[in-house]
Amino acid sequence: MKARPFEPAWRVAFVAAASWGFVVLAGGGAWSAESSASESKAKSKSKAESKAQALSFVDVAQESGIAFQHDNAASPEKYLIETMGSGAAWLDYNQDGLLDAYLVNSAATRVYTPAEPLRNALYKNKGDGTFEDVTAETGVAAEGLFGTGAAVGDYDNDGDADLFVTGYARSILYRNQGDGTFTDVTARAGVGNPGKWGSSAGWFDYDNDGRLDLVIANYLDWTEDNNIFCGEQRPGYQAYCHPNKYKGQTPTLFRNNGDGTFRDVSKESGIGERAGNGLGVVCFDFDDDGWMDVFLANDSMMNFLYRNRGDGSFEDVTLAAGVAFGEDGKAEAGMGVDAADYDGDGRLDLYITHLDFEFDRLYRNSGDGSFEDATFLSKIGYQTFDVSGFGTKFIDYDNDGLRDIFVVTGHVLDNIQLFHEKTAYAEPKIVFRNTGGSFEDVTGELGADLSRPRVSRAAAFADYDNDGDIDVLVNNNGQGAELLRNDGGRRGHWLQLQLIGTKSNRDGVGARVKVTAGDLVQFEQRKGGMSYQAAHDPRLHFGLGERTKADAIEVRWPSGTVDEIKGVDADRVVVVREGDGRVGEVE
Amino acid sequence: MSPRGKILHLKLRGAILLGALLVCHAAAAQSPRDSYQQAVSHMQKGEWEPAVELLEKVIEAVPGNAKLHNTLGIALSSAGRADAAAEQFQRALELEPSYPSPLKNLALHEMSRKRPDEAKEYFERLLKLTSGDAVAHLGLAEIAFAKGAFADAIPHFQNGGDLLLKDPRLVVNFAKSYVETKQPSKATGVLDTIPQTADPDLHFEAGLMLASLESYSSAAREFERAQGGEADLYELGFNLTLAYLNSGQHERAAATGERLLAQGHQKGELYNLLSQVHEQARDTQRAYDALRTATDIDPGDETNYIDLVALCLDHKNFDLGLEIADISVKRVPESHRLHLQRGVALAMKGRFEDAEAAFDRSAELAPDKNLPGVALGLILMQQDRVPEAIGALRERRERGNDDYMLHWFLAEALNRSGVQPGTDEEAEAVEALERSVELNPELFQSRVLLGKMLMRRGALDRAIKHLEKARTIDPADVSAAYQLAQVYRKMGDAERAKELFAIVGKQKDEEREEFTRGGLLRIVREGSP
Repeated sequence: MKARPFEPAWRVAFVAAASWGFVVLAGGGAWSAESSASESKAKSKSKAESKAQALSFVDVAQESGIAFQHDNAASPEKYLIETMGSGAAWLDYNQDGLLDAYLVNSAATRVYTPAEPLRNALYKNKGDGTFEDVTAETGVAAEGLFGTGAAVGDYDNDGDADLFVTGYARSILYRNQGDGTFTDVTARAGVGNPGKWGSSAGWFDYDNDGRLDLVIANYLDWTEDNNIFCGEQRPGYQAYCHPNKYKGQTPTLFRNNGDGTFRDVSKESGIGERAGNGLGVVCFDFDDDGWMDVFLANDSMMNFLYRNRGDGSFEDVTLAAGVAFGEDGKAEAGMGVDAADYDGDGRLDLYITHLDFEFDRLYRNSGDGSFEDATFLSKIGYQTFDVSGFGTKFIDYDNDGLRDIFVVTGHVLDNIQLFHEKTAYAEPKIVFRNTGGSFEDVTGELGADLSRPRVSRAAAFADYDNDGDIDVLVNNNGQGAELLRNDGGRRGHWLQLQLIGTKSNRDGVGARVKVTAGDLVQFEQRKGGMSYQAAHDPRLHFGLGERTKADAIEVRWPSGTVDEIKGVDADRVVVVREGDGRVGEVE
Repeated sequence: MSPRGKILHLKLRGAILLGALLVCHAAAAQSPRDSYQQAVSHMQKGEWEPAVELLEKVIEAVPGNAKLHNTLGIALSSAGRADAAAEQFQRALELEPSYPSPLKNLALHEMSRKRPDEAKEYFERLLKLTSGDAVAHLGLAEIAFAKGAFADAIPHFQNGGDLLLKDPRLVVNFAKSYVETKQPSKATGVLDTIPQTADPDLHFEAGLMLASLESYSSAAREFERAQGGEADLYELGFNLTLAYLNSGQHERAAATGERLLAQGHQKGELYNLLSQVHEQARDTQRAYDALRTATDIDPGDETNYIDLVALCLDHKNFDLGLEIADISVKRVPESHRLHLQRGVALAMKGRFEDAEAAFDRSAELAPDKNLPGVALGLILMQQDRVPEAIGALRERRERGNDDYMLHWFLAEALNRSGVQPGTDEEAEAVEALERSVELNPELFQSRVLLGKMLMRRGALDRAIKHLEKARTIDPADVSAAYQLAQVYRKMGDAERAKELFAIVGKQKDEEREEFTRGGLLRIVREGSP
């Protein structure tokens, strides 16, 4: 008798494989060397009509004097810290009205000794399109620190920008002395974040006491001692490990005591309750209740959204808010994040970058405490599928009044082509133009420099040349930095607001702004964090398209104060002081 | 002769006659009752003919007694004189139509004569008299079973009582009836009652049935008891290995399988089976080696290549998977399944153009199959050519292919193209999913996507229905729970939403823990440390 109770059902196996394929498509990530095809990204994927006036992003790093070369301390040991990059920040360190550039570098490790000591770099904006390296005289080199990110905020409310640099196993707080120099006040302030692998950080006032507090996304408990072999046992096939090979770390929240010191309130606030693989952070008021909330993008596990209860504590509402995972319920490799109102409904939405073989996620704020995954509805969908996104921000790059999305990319495995020959380590950037709630990839229309493949990590956004459009400073892992100057973006009219808090924190972080210009109504908030390991132009930027003035500007400060300004001409920076309204303009 | 002599003669003759009569009477002086008892005694000893002779005489002496005719019928039947026996049973019934025993005997007689309709009539008459008669029930059960009227057979089997258990063959048929009427758990319950002492071949048959019902632990037990029967030793061993494997008894599965190998059964399918055993025991290297051996033994059997490539892909060793896939299509070039799988391996390596070509080839070889088209759609989506994917999948549908997977993937493609609720395309996606669910109600993915899309359009009750069903189909996959939680949240059922979110959160934490513990498995290439 020849009998079998069942036969292996190959079709079932294929369904499983196909389903797995979809799983991989939706949430496999790049860590285990999944396949993707990025070579097509070099070609234009734009479906947009060509514009009458050309607009492009041009890399002017070299000609501007930003000769920064990031050294990622790459070694055969494949320490995980080698691949996670490298921060970038804009700050006006000398209060001359020009934003200066700060770039973060790594350091020597047990298995890597650089030819010269590595240091971060501060470049002073000379106002003529060029920059000057002033690192040594300003005292912000952070030598010896394996630096990761940077966050800028006037934590002591003295009118100048202070600088927090995150790093592996420790971080540094540089207090701006107001005289063009900084002092390392880490120890006194108590914000060293010892033993934590700090990634992105954000300044924000969580308790509305008028002082900026500090939240840090911490990554993994990797150390040189617990570094393990990952990849294949073949020469050259060792790979950076998947983050879930290590335990995550809890986020850190430092409360500003107001006297130059901080208190670690991570646990008591609830933010430090759970360990995550934190990489990106954005502080914003997602439910518009006047209290700043915190979103942390976690790598290969669910994200965290902490809702501020207003009593000094936070509540984890991630799952209920629908932002833990993509719509298919799979964890993704969260890297960079930003929040802004992309659809003009007055609510701040979220954009999170992920690795290749995953989708960047656009979460639309439904206004009821939850978000809807609008990745496919917005047509972003598969457009990010074959690249690994890091730094990102909602910016109106063409000043048409709609917030677009800018993403910098780069794979995490420097030997990815051994596993997947069609996947590149260095990848082009992506710019999605907002067409009114949907997005189209216009990268190919914006100049060759965007399509040039790089291993990008931090992207810091600012109008450094004060011409009314947003430029981008990019720190590339193990490569030279880029300064992508926006040429042509100012063809549309624009407005920028510089906020000065009085009762609220001086930076005005947390202030909600509404700009009405004819039929165009825009909402924005002065936020903390954003992007990936980066700090941005403190001014709030609004594109106005063809509108030549803003009919009304409303600023709601964290203190509750509301300033209203009527009839502001476009194409200028308006200085708004809490309680006083418009106090100055810069054209 | 004087008159006086004549009278004496007559008297003498009368005396002699009387004497003779008296002698005869003395000889037949055993009463009918005694004769009957004696006949019964003969019957008890299996001495049928003497019993028949006596009973016939008793009947002659005491005609009109139904019991006597019935007993005679029994004796005749036992003596192998079936027709004569039937006549007696008939006679008994004529005398006493409500006499159960001859009814039963006639029914059994008809059964033996392979006249089920006639037997059925008698059994039914009998049941009218004695509703609980197990023999009648089992007789009717067998008759219905033989006709394929399984639903009719079941109640009779159920009333077979202890008699049923005495015949394992009946137990098997009882179980089969449950299987045929789609009551698998009852079938399993019945098979579990087969006594250990039953015939080994019946155990084997029971084992097969239990395995087909996915009751593998019980199947293994039955296969163990089937040793010593007529079943081919290899088949028995193979099935036992399979049953051990599927009931999680890896060590026993390995031992049984290895024993078969040692006995000289160097068969590809056996190596294939052993590879599954090793893989379940997390010995991927041995699993891989076993499958490689299987492909060498049976180079023309596509199954082994399919499983081997799947193993490689499962462990994310795409290079090796592709290497095997390349070999497979060289060895079995006309296999559409292997070309399809090669396409999958190519896709996993990011070689999408080559993958498309492989899927095209698969479609050429099997134009009636939908999977190549579905795979092509997948690849196109992955390359951000979603409109093309939609076009390709629509075209397949329009050709009349009513395949659940096709409908599902078309809906996925439409969803991923960003269809908005209220549009024709969104309606098309929902309709495709509903059809997919209709064709395959147990496909988890269709239900989850359908639930999601219904939620998006505000049809929350319907969304819940599909998502709840998805959860029962695959409780381990929390994507349904995640969606469901969001639906309940939208409906304002915060409590239920919170419960479900907690389930999702817990599961995700556990998955992460598992990942950290388990790590990535890699198939180590030969010669590597």
